[in-house]
Amino acid sequence: MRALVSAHLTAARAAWPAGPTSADSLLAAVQQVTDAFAEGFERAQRQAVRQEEAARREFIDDLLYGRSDLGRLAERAERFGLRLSHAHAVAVAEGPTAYEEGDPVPRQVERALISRFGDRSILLTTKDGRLLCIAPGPQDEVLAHFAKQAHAATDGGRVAIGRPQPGPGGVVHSYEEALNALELAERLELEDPVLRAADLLVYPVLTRDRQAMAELVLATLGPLTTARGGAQPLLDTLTAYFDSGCVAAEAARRLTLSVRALTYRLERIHKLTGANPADPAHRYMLQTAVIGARLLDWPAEEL
Amino acid sequence: MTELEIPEEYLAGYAQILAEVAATGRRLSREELTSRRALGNRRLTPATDCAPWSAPI
Repeated sequence: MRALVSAHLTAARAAWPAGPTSADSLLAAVQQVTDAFAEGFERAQRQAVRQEEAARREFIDDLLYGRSDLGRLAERAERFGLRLSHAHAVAVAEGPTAYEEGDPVPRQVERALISRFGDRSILLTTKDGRLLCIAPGPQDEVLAHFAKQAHAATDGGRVAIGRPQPGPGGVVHSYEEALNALELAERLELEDPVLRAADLLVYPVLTRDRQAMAELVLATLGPLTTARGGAQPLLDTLTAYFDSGCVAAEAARRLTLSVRALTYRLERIHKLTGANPADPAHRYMLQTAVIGARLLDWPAEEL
Repeated sequence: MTELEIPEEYLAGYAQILAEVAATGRRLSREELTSRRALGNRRLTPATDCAPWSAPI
């Protein structure tokens, strides 16, 4: 713009008539011309910014959809500072409300990350109301910092971090891992504010064969439904018992029961299911079935 | 032409307008203002439409 204004003034000086003339009307004309020209120029710039934002949004949607032409995707990614030939990991934060790009919460997180890491090939955005951070695979500190900031900015929202995955399809892979981790945390009522997909690899193994898991749950825990008060209190007892490392006193404390009451419940479970929670040989089956029940939302949902 | 130079077409008709204003002392017509605005708007649009670097190498 500076060069363009200067060009207009130079041309005006060159065209300035030699004879006596009104400098005022000529300057007024120059002013009108440069003003109109600048107006057109600014409109073009605003349009370019809007186009750039639309292109970025479209790129991000394609990147996270995972079905577009991967070669072309990698080419476009370079414009936004991502080298898709390298591994990338994605962190996803879910708050009490949905966020959109440009909202105060995402901008707060973005400022915190940029002030700490500069512009280090990090892509921050939103998708389906969640905050997303895409960072090069080896830079774990970026996603860890994002998790911390996003957890605080979303008023205690939950954050999941996918594993680093290579190649143009790596981003969507890591993104889906993070989403699955969030869903799992919701189902299992995990309390950790930050979940790592790498720590949760056992769950896909348990959920992949739904039929087999349903059979295990029904065969192992089915008899608990005949207990007075239903299966739920006994399931909660087992969860607390396994979560406390099979220490009855600790499990009783968590459930605010007396140790006697807890021991009585464990005996009921043993009697009804035929499996003894305190016996290592039975414990693995019971614990897997209890996790399966939570994953399948049993007994609330019929299997 | 180097990149820093402003292409002549951004100033197309400009000298003509100035010459007429100098002769008559009139202000710019609506058409003339529209043409200046269009020239300013041209500045970025063609570059994003057919940027040479967007072509596959």
